[in-house]
Amino acid sequence: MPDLDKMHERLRNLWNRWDLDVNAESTAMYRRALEITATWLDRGARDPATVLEGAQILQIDPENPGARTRGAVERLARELGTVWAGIERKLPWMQALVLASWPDSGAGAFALLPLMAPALAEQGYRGRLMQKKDVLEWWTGATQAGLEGPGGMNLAGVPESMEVAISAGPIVWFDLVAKVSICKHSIHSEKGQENSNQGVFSNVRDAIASVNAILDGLASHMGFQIPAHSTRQPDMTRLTQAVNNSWKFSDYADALLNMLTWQTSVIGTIWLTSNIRPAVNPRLASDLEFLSARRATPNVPFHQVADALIGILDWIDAHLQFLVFQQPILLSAWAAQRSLIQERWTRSAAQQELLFWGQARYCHGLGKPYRRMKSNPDQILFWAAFEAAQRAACLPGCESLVEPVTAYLCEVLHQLGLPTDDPQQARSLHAWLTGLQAVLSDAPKLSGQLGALLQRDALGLPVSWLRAQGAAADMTQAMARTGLDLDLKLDLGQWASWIFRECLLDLRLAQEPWS
Amino acid sequence: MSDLYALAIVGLRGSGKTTYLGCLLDGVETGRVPGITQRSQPEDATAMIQLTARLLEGLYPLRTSTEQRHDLHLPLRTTPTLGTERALDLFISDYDGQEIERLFTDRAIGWSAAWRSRADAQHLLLFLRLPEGLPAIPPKPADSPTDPWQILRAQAARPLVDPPPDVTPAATPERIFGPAFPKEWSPSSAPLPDDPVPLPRGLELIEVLQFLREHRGLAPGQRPDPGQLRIAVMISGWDAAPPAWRDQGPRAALRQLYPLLATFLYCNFAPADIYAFGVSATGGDLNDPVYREQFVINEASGFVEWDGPTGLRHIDDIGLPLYWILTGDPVLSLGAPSSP
Amino acid sequence: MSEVNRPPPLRPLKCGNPDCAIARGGRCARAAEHPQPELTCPDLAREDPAAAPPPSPSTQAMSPGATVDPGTPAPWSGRHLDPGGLYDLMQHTPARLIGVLGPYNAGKTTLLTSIFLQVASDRRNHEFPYHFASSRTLHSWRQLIDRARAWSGKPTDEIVAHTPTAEEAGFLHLGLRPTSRSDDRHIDVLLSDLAGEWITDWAVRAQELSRQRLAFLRRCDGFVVLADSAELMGQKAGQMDATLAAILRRLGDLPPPATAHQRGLALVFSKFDLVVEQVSPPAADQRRQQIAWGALGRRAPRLFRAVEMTSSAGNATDVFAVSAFPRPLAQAQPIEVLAPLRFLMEHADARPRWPRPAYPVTRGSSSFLALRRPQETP
Repeated sequence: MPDLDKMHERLRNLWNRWDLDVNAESTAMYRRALEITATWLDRGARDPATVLEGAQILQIDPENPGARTRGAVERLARELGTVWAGIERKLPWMQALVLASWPDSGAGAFALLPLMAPALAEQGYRGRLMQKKDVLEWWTGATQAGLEGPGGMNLAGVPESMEVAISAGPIVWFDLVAKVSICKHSIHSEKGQENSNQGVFSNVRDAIASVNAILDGLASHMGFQIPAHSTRQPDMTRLTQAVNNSWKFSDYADALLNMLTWQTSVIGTIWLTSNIRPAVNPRLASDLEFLSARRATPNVPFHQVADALIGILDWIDAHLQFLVFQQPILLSAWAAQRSLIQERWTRSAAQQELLFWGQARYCHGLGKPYRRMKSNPDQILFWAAFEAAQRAACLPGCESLVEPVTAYLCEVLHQLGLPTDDPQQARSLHAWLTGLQAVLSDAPKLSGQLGALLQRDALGLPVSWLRAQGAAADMTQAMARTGLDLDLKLDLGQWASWIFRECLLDLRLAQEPWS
Repeated sequence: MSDLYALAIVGLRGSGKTTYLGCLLDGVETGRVPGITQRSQPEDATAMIQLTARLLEGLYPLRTSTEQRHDLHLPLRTTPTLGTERALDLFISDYDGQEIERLFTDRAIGWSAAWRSRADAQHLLLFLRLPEGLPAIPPKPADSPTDPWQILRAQAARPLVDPPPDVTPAATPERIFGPAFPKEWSPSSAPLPDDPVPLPRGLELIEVLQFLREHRGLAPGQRPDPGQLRIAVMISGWDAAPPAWRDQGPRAALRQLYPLLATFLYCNFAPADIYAFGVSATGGDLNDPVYREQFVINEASGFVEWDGPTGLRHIDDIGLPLYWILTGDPVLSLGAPSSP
Repeated sequence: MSEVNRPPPLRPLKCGNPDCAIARGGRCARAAEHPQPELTCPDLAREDPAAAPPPSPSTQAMSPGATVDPGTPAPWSGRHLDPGGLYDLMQHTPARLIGVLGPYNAGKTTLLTSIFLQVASDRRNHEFPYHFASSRTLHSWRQLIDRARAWSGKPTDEIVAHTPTAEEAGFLHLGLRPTSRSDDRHIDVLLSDLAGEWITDWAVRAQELSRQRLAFLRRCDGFVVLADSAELMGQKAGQMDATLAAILRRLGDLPPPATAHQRGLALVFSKFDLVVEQVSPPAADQRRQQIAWGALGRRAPRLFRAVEMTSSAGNATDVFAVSAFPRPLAQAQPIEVLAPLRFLMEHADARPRWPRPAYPVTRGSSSFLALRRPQETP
């Protein structure tokens, strides 16, 4: 249940700042309206349409004629109809309600927020003096919540922290493990802060962080697990050579030793509690012994280390089952961390693919190098942004990487000789859209999910609106449909970033099994 | 199966609504409105007969009174002139000018259910009358702004040093955005210091249009989607307009004679859905016995002039505004260039 | 109050009372009698259980032989908005509220009339970049125009009727649309039309009643303060100077606007045609200096000092010479009547681009972040 008092306090601040006419007798109505709005917004954790519509309501300029008949406004007005008939005519009130009840958590589909208002990201708003401060604060706070933790969205089922009951008994290390509050967002940054001498293994986070560190190092040098959309494989020979040249086993040896210690602890624990000594695969044992003996050696073939680590992970997966009967929650904690590890692995591979695409500068969609498309910069812009979005969509938690990936996209365009940040080359949004319309004939179709959302309202999403309308788009309607000032000046880099965000939003919506 | 079209006619007293309706109905019967033809006789033809009876004698129809409001149902068929033939049922009703004026002054009653239901009509015919005593030459805009204080001091006018800020070519919207935006007339020039201040005409019409918009759920400034609500602005008595005004065309006349209404229409409706027509339903003055005789024996007919894509156009078919409402812009290339 | 069991109201709500705002989400005009208007107010359009379902829009409009009914009141009255109507409108959009102030006979309503005529003629778009788009007070505008066009031209005759010291403050409404075709907004502008006696009373005594009447000033986005040039050049110049200075100082004491923009204050020397033989209006860059106004400036030392004070209190100020009716309407154009409104709208309708919001980049996301170039400051 959302904290109604807190929301009411926020609403009170807003109506004071915005000079809204408050009726003291209507407090119950305001609270009920807040409750309904919060419940509606809460659906956004599973339903991107709600997040999009909520964000659209906040983007609407109430002075825009027809604002009250926009799809998002009508949707929320229907929800609120029983307690506040006619609220669609009081848009500032509706916006205040949405701002006051926007959830603090960025879980689930709320993580898509950075993709939902390219206009805001590219300074596409002007005026609206009354709302500016509060909408900017909302945007920063809400995107912060959505972006914290790259895997935030994919771990929606995992609780924020796990309080594990401490069981009495001889298992010293297990008690220590149980004390650990495993925060899904802190795993990457917080090193084990306590180093208790009471057990052989003080903090499970140390172990998992060790695995992460090694895997990260390894995976970032490995070129396998190419995403399915790619039609070309990287040059594996060159890649392997490059990895071997840069790989320094000694950098990871301590972490590996930590893993070995932990494995030994698990073995000991199981033995103590069940009188069964778990077996270790001889090959894995041999690898681990080999690596352990070469801790100080700078170079060991990385595939050998990778094999050993994967072996350890599998081994832990298997043997934790023995301990589950005592602390079932441990298994889910491990599963969550295992999934994080998997994500990092995948991310590294996807990054590799993105980097390769950027270096190759080859347009897979049109089957020719971008350099051969120089006669049509609008075509380059769309396809480069779209293909970068395709690759970025494979990055777990890609919403947190929008900024760096757009920066990378601009670097790629810069390499192609396009003036990405030249203010002299800035054009109006209308001019960019007109240029884009001319090159959309070969463009991939918009996904059904975003297409359905645009049917209701295309506010703030001009690229997607154009893609949905195709060549038949009536540009005289662009301003009314998108609710944007079409004289907004954008340089080439900003426009590329705008296309990228909308394409990424489309791909992300199509990717997830949203409810 | 036929298409249903509901049109509402709005205009003040003496704006020529009844005369136009009578001539239109007569034209449909006699074939002088060749784009549409009667499919069958309407169930109740009383209103039709009332409207056309006096015209057959060469007399102007009597003005509509509240009791005689016309609610017409015309079963029609389009002819190949308007493309593919199709059946259509045209419902036409009019807002009585006297009622419009009364509603503007006294708001206590008058917004009747019939008015509200007419507000749901798909398209509008908006009738305007050329004002009495038009100058022979339309007022020309000032070549350059002058210092009005100097005029007041009875000294020689001198041009201002600084030009108006937004007339430099670099700042015009056309240069920046090209032609993709809604069409708008070119910016007007400033009036001369001793030009009369034009008094806004047609405030009552604007108020009624605001009421219609409110009834239809349109917020102020909200333009309906193109094609959803066409308004044919009918400047009636066009034959009586001084030649210089006719040469300018009905669009310029609307702008100069009804500037407030013109900007209201521009700001609240899709610009492509507003078109001004200079309409002469009878083609001349029926009070002139010679002309009346010609009119009765079908040697003279009404006409319509409008600003076509390539200049002023003329057609001896008063159905043209109706064709435009039914089919859109392609019919605007009918007719012939207007002779000077 | 007797509980009347009325049928449920039609949705969306429609009310026959022109002063009622309930259909727009506001208050019932008869809220005092009907605390629960949806249940009991007789003015609301209600369902008629016996009525047949309404016919389709295309046919219902045209049913021949429909009986003539006297109908209900029009959707709005077209008269000046009262404070209730004002606040109701301001809940719909961020309407711009302009306070037009000045002592008795300073020319406030005359200026408003002339402004409407200029906006209506749509010939000064280079001076005032807005088109007329709507008005909720067309009837009041029409009354003002009808009166003004009958003016003979004699300075002693009234051009418009003096605003009565009525019960409540009145406001005139203009819906404007920017002339820029890339700006697709409809801006509600509300202009106060108050009796000069109230304003002087508020400026000089500031009693509770005066404060209540002029409570809307706190919410104003800009002010026009009119000073009668002829009065200032006349025998009662000192008294007029003191009164005007008191008005300006009161405005300077108002709390800053809730929104981030700077409030504009336009001091208008009205009826300037009557003094133009003695005073030359200064150039735009010198208008705020007392000395530039020559004899007029010398007779208004307190006024110009108060202008400085309001300016230093954070208001954007400028001074204008205006002649709303230099001669009868048929003989001459007004001079500079739109300039003060344009100046105020430059502040009240300022359209700066928003800054780019801060984008958090998550910790430990990836070494990929190293690719990001540092943000360039514009």
